[in-house]
Amino acid sequence: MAEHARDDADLVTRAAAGDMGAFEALVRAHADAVHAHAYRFFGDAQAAQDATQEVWVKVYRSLEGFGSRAAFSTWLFRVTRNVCLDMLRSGRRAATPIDPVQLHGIANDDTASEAVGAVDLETAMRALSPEDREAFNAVALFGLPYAEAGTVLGVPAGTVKSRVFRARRALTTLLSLDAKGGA
Amino acid sequence: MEMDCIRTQATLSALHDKEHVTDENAEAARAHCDECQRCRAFEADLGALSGLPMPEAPPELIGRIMVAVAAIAAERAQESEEIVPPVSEAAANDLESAAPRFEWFTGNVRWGTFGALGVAAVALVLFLVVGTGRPAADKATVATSGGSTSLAAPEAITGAAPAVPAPTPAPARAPDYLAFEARVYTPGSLLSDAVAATQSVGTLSTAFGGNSAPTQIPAYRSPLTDGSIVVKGPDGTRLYEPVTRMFDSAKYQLVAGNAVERFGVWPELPTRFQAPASPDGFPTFTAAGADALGVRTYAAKGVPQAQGFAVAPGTSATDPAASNPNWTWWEPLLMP
Repeated sequence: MAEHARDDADLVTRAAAGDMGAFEALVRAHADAVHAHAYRFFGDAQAAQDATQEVWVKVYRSLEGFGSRAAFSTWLFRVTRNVCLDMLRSGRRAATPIDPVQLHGIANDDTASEAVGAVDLETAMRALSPEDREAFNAVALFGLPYAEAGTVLGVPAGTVKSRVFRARRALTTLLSLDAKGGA
Repeated sequence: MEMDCIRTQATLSALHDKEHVTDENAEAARAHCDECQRCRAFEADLGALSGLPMPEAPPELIGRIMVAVAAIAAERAQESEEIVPPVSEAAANDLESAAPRFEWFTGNVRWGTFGALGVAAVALVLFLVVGTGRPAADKATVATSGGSTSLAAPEAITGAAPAVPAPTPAPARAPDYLAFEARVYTPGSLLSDAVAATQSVGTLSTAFGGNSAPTQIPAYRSPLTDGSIVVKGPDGTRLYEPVTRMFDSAKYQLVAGNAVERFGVWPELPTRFQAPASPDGFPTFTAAGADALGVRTYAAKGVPQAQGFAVAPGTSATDPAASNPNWTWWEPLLMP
């Protein structure tokens, strides 16, 4: 984690100085996390892609002002969260509601393959409360410590801990991971 | 579920995230797991859950992002160029300050001196012609140079003309132009290679700056909306911007009739136009107006200027056709 942070800081410095290769390396390192958060937020692939692009455009425009005040991943999560919320508030994108039938089928599906497992995980994600889901994403996708996630989310670190735990318990139950003997 | 299970699993979740947990709580959680199969399963599930793949960003999305970002970078570069005077303009200013000014007797000592001596020389020639009734060309005449008086050829007595004719300058080398669908482009910013993964718009023929035979190179859609293209060259993936001039509030792009297949080749008129025989464009073109910078434009017979116009060679150093020894033809800018 610390190594990644150092790498990020170096890439941010170089990208802010105009090194497009460094910026591309940042994008490649973190695009999946941004995209996954947006996908889980909207439940729609196209909206996720639009949001991901908008996030990186905002990041690029703000690189010089970033100045390594915080860890890059913390800042990136903040930008990602704000972009998704802004798109939702402006009415440009709406979150796709979860179909309860999809959730019902999760536990009965064969999730042996990664592909099937991925689909089920994303469906299960949509069953989480938005607060639990974004806390989980901040920690699991962006690798934020609870304290930093709490700063972005505006809640104490203890609340982040509770939300992440609640998300994990719900996910393991929905995906029936414990029924498979704990993998 | 017992309260101990909830506490234990919360602790396990925090440990999984490498959060600080007191030794006492960690020990308690371990001890509980030794006796509780459900919590041991939960601990294993944490690993299984984090091992599940997340939805990955499609590879083409990375390319789209880099194209969008490259567009911003190009905009910024353009803005900074607008703040700092263009090099060509600065060069033009330098040229102007270095050129002799005909400020006769008004502080430019060199030309004031030359002027005074020139007037004196002309007066002397007139005296010789009038006084002797013979043309100056028939006589040895007096010219001035550096304040001294000497015998010189007649053409040297005009005052400003140098005693020795200046050598004809070698034709300037054309910029690093590319031609795509007969339209001329000049190198812009370097881009990330990811940009080249975007949509191809066709091919062009070029050897770039090399001496080898030209090859077909793909041209890609530019992230900009200024009509530029993206080309992968020997020095990387680069924007190539259209060579344009403004006319009647619209951009017109330089069109080449010849094969501009390597750097340094000057674009020529499209082959449907005969090269004018005279500086006024005759018989191919007639003077018809001026572009946004006051450069005279010439119309071809039967072609409205809105569809295209010609510009004579000899434009200023800041003109997009500067140094081109040929007449040039300009048509409305199109998006590739």
